[in-house]
Amino acid sequence: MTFSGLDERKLLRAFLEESEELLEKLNDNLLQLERDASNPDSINEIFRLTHSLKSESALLGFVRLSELAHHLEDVFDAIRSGSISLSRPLMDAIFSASDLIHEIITRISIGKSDEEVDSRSLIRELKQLAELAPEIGTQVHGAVTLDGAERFGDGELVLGDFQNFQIMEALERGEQIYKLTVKVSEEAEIKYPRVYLVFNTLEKIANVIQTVPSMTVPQDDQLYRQLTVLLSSELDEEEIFKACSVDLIESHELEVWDKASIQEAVSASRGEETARSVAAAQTSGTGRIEGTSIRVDTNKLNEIWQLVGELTIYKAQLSQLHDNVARRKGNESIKGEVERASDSLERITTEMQQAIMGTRMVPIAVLFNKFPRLVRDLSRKLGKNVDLEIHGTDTEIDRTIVEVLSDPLTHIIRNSLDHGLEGPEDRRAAEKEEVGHIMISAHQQGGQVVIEIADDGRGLDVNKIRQKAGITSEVSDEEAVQHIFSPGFSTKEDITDLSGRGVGMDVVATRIREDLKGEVEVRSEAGKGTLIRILLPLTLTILHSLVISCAGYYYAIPVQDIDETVKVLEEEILSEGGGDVYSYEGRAVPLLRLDSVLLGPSEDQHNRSREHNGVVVEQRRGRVCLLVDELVEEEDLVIKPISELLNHRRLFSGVSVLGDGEIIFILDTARIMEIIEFGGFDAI
Amino acid sequence: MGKKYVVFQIGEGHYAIPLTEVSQIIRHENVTDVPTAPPFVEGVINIGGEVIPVINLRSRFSLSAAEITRKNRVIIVQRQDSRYGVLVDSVREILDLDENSIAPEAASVFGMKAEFVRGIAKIRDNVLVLLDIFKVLSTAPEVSIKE
Repeated sequence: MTFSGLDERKLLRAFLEESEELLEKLNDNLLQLERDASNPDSINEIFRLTHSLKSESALLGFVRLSELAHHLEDVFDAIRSGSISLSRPLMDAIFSASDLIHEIITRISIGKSDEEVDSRSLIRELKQLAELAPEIGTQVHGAVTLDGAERFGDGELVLGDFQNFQIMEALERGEQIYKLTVKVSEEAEIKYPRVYLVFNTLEKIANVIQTVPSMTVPQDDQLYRQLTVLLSSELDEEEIFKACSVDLIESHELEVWDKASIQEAVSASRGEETARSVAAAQTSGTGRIEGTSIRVDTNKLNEIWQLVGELTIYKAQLSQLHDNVARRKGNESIKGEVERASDSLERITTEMQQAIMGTRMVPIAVLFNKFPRLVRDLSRKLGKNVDLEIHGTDTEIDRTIVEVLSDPLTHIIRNSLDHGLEGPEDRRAAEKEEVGHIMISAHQQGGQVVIEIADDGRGLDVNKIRQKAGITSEVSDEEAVQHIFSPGFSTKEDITDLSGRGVGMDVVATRIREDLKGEVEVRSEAGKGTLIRILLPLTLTILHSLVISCAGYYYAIPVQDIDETVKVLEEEILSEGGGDVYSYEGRAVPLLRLDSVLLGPSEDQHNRSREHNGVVVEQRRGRVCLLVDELVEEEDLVIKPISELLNHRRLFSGVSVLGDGEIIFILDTARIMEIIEFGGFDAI
Repeated sequence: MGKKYVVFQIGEGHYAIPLTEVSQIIRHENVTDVPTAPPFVEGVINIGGEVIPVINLRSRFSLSAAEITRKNRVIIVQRQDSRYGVLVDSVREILDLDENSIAPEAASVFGMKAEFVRGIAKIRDNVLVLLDIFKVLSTAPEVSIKE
């Protein structure tokens, strides 16, 4: 087969996308298999995955990859048929093969050939182990044929729409699909009654989808030498077999159709779409058919996102225009119409914004799914016994956040395994269960996503942290442990092969706080364990903000940073320790004039009015009350990145454009508080 | 056929940048002042919903400030995804420049450091400096463009 250059590139891209997904599934199933070596679902699924990887890579000419996939397929073929069992060394070799496949695909994705990869020794090992493995496990009745092409090439069963529909329904009910073939002995002079008996019993205990030859329209008796029945049932093989205990029925063969077979059969008859629905129905465990999905280039999504952003700007412009028109006299009927049109546009734009936001959201499972493998590999390397629990995988989060979050989260988990959890002996000595536990969870809380990583290990060494960070005894333990997130804090003891060579939690915290506008905190109890909680915004691109004006400029403060807005009277402002303070909720809160923070101290003290607008912002570092000229409005702002050139003091986290085209700067309140803490610009 | 250049003036000097680097030329209108920005940042401008920084080239070249007049233009330059506005005293013309009329050796002209100069051309008794505008824009604020 030959392709034109463009087709080939398209194919390659499709192949790379699919193989990424395929590898992820392969990994998941391997992990499942490791926990439960007799799980037929995992075995079948892995077989199917390796099979499609084999054919697809061969089609694109990736010989090495195809060869490796082929050998894996063979191994699972043998496991599936029960001729070999999964030994630990075999499992390890299989994992290595999956890693090598990953490596090859990565090479291909950066335009390199797969031929430089040496897979021979691994293939040899796989072959050897597969042969050495003793034959155990229960023997399945009859033979199970495996090659799909052979099975459907013979034209025995031809599925129509109705049959497909029945298959889908059966899957929804959680039933198995069986293909049963019975042969009538040559001795039986009249064959039809024999097979009829089988058919009749089956009709009672199962749902017969199709028979070849037809049982409802009797045909030439000689045709009934052999009967093939496609049926669905919740019963197991044993019980189906009982239906075949009929005199002069010579042999029977029963196949359980796995996902791959069904998909192949259905797609052969009805095309890809139905096959995908079948796959979805089976994957979802409960048997419910999920909505179909397609892959979309993120660039295209971003483009739509940009356009919606622009639309919101013009929407706001229109409603301002409407306000202006409404203030004038006359033209009442037109005013009404403009108002209605403006309202509709507003509603539609808001909905569109939410819908498009939805497309940016992905379940956090895409991130969490890689952790079982990580924990498995690490725990084996460290000789620790670890049980991993994952909750809330369907929590949705902006895909750009997921991308940035991956590294810090991985690091936290590595840390838990490496330093948090004790080895088996230490755990025994501490009278703990020998198996260590790590729990990763996610849930949504208000406008934020909360991610927690907990372990039941030895906990943080508070004294060491105090010593290293030079913390006085007045600071509570709870506060002292937060110093692991302070810039520059990395204990030397951290330096091992596993925890990223001294890159500590301080780096993790910086990523979460600065790149993701999130928060991270730790709770720890000596001997009991450590809990790390990460709070993240749902999205980074729309920010509900308060627009304020100050000294002729417009600024926005993210509402999530704001505790309250207050009226501050001149006489309520007290001078204390060189700075102004304001009594807020019974506590003295530092008071700052935003213009003097941003533009330097101003001289015109006399110009102060008696009453000021204050915005109390709260951050990890504490609270501060910012005095501004005017509180303008609350608005959902589409955040755009700000050029480095304009932001050398990093006071802004972005820019946005208001309805009237006015450009507005989004204040980075955490940074402002940092500046205050260090005593202004001159000090930093 | 040579390459097309946009020729503009700053003070007494004539400068040129390739037309391929220019996305549009506009008047000095709706430029928003940016608090806390370095002095040579004229402000920001909203073009199609995108917020673009505008650099005052006079100030960047350490020349004394001049009043904004009708002649001033903002040249929007673009490379890959990043766009900048460059405020110049005036835009003179769009010129076809033959490769042969350009002296490629980077040299210091008008007191400008050689690294910002791509070449020099002589047009009707005027010396034209082919400016590496992106080099100018990407240089740290505290580094002078002049020698």
